[in-house]
Order: sequence, then C-alpha cells, then structure tokens
Amino acid sequence: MGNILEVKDLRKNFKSFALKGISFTLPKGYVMGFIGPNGAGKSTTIKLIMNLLKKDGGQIKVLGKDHIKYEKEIKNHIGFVYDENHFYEELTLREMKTIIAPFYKTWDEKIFDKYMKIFELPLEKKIKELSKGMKMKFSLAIALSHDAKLLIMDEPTSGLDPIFRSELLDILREIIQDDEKSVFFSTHITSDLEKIADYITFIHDGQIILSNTKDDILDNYCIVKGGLDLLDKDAQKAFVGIRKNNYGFEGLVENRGKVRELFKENIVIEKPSLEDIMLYIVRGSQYA
Amino acid sequence: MRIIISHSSSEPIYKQIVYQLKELILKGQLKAGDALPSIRNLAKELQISVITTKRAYEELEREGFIQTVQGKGSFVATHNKEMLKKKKYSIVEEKLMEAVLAAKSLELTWNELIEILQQLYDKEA
Amino acid sequence: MLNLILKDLLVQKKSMLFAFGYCFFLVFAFQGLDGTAPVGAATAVVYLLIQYSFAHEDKNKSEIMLNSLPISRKDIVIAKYLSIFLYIGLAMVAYMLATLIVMAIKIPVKVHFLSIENITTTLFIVSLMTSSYLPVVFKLGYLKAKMFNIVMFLLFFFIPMSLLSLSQNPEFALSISKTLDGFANWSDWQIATLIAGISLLMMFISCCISIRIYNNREF
Repeated sequence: MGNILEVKDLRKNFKSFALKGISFTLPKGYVMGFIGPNGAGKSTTIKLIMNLLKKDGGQIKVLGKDHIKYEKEIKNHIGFVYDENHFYEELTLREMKTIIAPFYKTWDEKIFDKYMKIFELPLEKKIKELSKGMKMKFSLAIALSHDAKLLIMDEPTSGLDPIFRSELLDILREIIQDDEKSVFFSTHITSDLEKIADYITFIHDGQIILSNTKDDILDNYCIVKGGLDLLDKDAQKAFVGIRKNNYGFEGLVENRGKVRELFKENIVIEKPSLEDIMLYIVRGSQYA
Repeated sequence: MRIIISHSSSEPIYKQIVYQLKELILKGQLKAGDALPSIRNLAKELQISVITTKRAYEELEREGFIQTVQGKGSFVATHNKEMLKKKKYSIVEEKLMEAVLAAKSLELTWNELIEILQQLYDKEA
Repeated sequence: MLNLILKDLLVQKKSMLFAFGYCFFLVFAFQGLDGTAPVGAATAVVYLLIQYSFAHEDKNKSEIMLNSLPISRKDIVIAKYLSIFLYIGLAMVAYMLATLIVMAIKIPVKVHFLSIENITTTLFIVSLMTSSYLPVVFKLGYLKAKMFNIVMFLLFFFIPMSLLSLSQNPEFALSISKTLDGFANWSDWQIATLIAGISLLMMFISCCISIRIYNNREF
C-alpha cells in the first residue's frame, strides 16, 4: 500500500501567520478533504507541497520521495487544480495545451480529447472567453491528462454552482475507480466532502485539529441538545463547543459513548455534519 | 441486488451495508460464489466513500459471509447448511433477546411472552 | 525550454504586431538622427517585448501555473534570457522590413540601414539594460519591479547626458581619448567581437544571479 502524501512537522512563518508544525498522511488510493476556515493555512500548506512557497522546517514526501529533491519527477505525477485561473488568457485552449503537454512525460492526448468532449470545452476559444466553471473544467482536464497519481485541488469548488460541484464529485469518483490514484482536496464548503472523502484533515489557525477517517470522525462526534437545567460544570466540560439560548442548549461532544453516562435522559442526540464539527471547534476555541 | 443507504439514519453507513448484504445472502438472493461489486465501484454507485465500503466488506469477511481473492474481487462465501442455519438463528436470537429483556423488566410471565410472540407471528403470516 | 520560448511568442502575438508598427513609426521619428535610428528602434522594440512578456506572466499569476508543471526554475529563467536574443533578431528584421517598405513606396524620408556597428551597439545596450533589469523582475515580479523600471529608464536617459558633460572636463576627455586610441588600430570586426563578448558575459552573469534569485522566489 504505502502513502501517496506525507507531511511531517511542516513549518512556515509569515509576519502575521504561522504554520505551526503540521503533520498528516494520505494513504494511496483515497480521497482526503482538507478543511478549515479561510486563513487557516490551507493554501499555504498546498503551496508548500508544490514548492511554490519555501518551507521553514519539516518534511514533505510525495510517493515516498522528498518533494524538493525529486521535484521534477514528483510534479510529473501530480495534477494540480488551482483556485483561480492561472493560464494565459490570451491563448486559446489548444495553444495552452500545446505549450503544457510536452512538459509531461506521460501526457496522453486521447485522454485530453476525451475530457474536452465530456466537459464540452471549445478548443479554439480563448481562455478569457470562458466562464469560471469552464476555466475550472479546463484546469481539471489538463490535470487529468498525464496519468497523475495525486490530484491536488485548492478550493476547486469555490464560486461554482451546486450543479457543477456535483459534476466535479462525479468525475472524482470516476478517477478513484483506479486504486492507484489519490485526491487531496481543500475546501471550506464541507458538504462537498461529506460523501466522497475517505479522510478529513481539519486545519485551524495553522494547526491540525483533526486528521482521521471521515467515518471515525462522524461516528465519534455527536450533537447534544437539551434543557439548560442539565448543564452543570462537569457536563459543560465534556463539550467541545456549546451554544445556549433561553430555552436550552446545543453542543458538540467528542465522545459519543460518554454522552449517555453524563445525561441519563431528556436529551436529543444527533449526527453532526462536518460543518457542525468545524463550526463548534472554531467557535469553541474562540470563546474558551 | 438492492442496497438502500440512509444518510439521516443514526446507524453508521457501513453497518447499513453489512446488514443489507447479510440479509441478501441469508435469504438466498445472493448465492455462494456470486461476485460482489468491487469496493470502489460500490462506493461510486452508492455515492459514499471508499473507506466506508471497505469497512463493510471487511466486517462481512470477518463474519465469514464473503471471501476476497486478491486481484479478483469479493465473492459470497461457500458455507454449509448448518452454518447458514446458525447465522440465521443468531440474527433472530439477538432480536429476541431484546424482547426477553423487555419482558423481564416489565415482569411478564413466560406464557404471556409466548402468547405475544404467537400473535405477532400469526399476524405477519 | 523551446516550449517556454514558444509560449512567450504565442502570448505576445498582438504585441508583436504593435511592435512592428512602432518600428515603422520610429523610422520616421528618427529620420534626422543618423546612427540612432536603427539602434533606437531595435532597443525600443526589444524593451517593449520584454516588458510585455513579463506583464503577461503577472496578469493571472501564471508563474504559479508554470512552477507547478514539471519544469525546473532554472529553465524558466534561461528561457527568458534566450528569448531576449530572439527579440533582438525580430527587432532587426522588423526594422529592416520597415526601411524596405518605406523605400519601396518611395516616401521621401531619409532611412538608415543596419550596420554591424548598429547591431553590436544594440546588443550592448540591450544587454546592459536587461542584465540589470531581469534579476530585479525575477526577485519582485513585474508589478513591483515597475518602480525600478522607471528609475532605470531615467538613468539611461541621464547617464549619456552626464557623460557628455563629463567629457567637457579636459582631464577626463584626455584619459578617454587615450583609451580609445588604443582601440584605434583595431578593425571593426575586432571591436564588434569584443563588445559582443562583453555583452554576452554580462548576460551570463546576470542569468546566473537570476537563477539563484528565482530558486528562492515564493508565489
């Protein structure tokens, strides 16, 4: 098996923000969702992986190899999808492809043509004439046409409509039918990941809050709702984050098993969404 | 073969798959040697993550319902009639245990419990 | 590498047409100035093309895209330097075409042909300009380098002027003319080769510096 992506104790200091030694691992053949609020360090981490930013410490391995020592080789195996258009607007799609294709050892023209057809992209149009969704699709087509082992996507769904987002997820499902391929996907729209992601890594304020399989995360955490009279000091400690109103409370608990011990009755337990977990953890740390 | 997943159920998704596949096997709708969809294909069809289906298959394998052959995929395991019967029993036993516990805590007698069971069985028939 | 240069040309299709038109205009504008016409026109065109090529990189932060492809940063830098020579060639061709057209349609304008001297002078000026400018762009990016660009433009304007006033100084003038005397018995070819050599050396050193700078650049 082995890991497609390993990040260990990664550090980067900026004037007003720092990545404080983050670590996580993505096993080969799976999808990892990289979530967190804006400014949490998602893009910084991705840029460090791509060596667009220079790390201050730590280690990054792609396909088991150091990402700087084997930079060129690794980039041959990475398909990178950007959060905005970085192609030359004046060029047509065909011209842009002609320039990019020869850089990849494993470029496959047939696959590219296939995606251009599926995405209904006009080869002779200039990039600046495309809609945002189409630019995104073009970026994806390029990323998918050289048999990339790892697809890295930085906020690919931001600013796109739900229909396109669901199309994108279908494409990703298709890609991972090949168990050699993995996807690392950053987003702040967690509902995109709810279904497809195998692993979730949650970053907040330059630190990893959780990194685990999505199933474990969703099975462990639960939302508890009940009357205010139930909330004594001990009970309150069990919550990661809590919200009270005049008629009751609602909070996130990390250990589902513990809830029944704490509250015998009169509570409602619900399955949280990833968004619930993200919100409570971020808010919880703000008011702690 | 029919599998229905509910995202709003409190039952974890992998357990829903395990339960439904078991049912299909015990009812004989899936027979010994039948090929199951690949983990990745099932995940795609059900629009759930690969790890979730993998976990379900692992559980089914552990309980002896299916077998996975490297490079070939997963198949319904061959098991003798005796074992199948045992498995059927164990599913019913589990449910009946709940009923027995409930009956005891409400202080129902054995005869009363049997009577209820008889009535329910006849009603469903 | 070739692909990177091709990319610069494709991106600049429109700018090149413009540059050619500009060349045409300069043939008229510089008609009174003897040797300055071809040198001035060629330098201006090269300058424009370099500026445009960096402006296009900056427009959509395309360097992010380039640097996520399997290309080493060294190649990106070298390609930019090599493309300069291509621009010089293109500028010369454009200038010659412009003069030929002017002559063909018999516009009463005094045109100047390119000489070896013109070519080496252009090479020298362009080298001086780009070898100081490119490391700055590779460090800061096109937009931030713009300030430097303006300063440099002014310097190029003032340095010849101040040199001119310096030459009024008799002592300085004497030392210059002594140095020049040394070259007096050199042939045109020898001087051209020397200047070309110096130009290439400047470009080479600048290129090495740029590679080091660009290797540490963050996007």
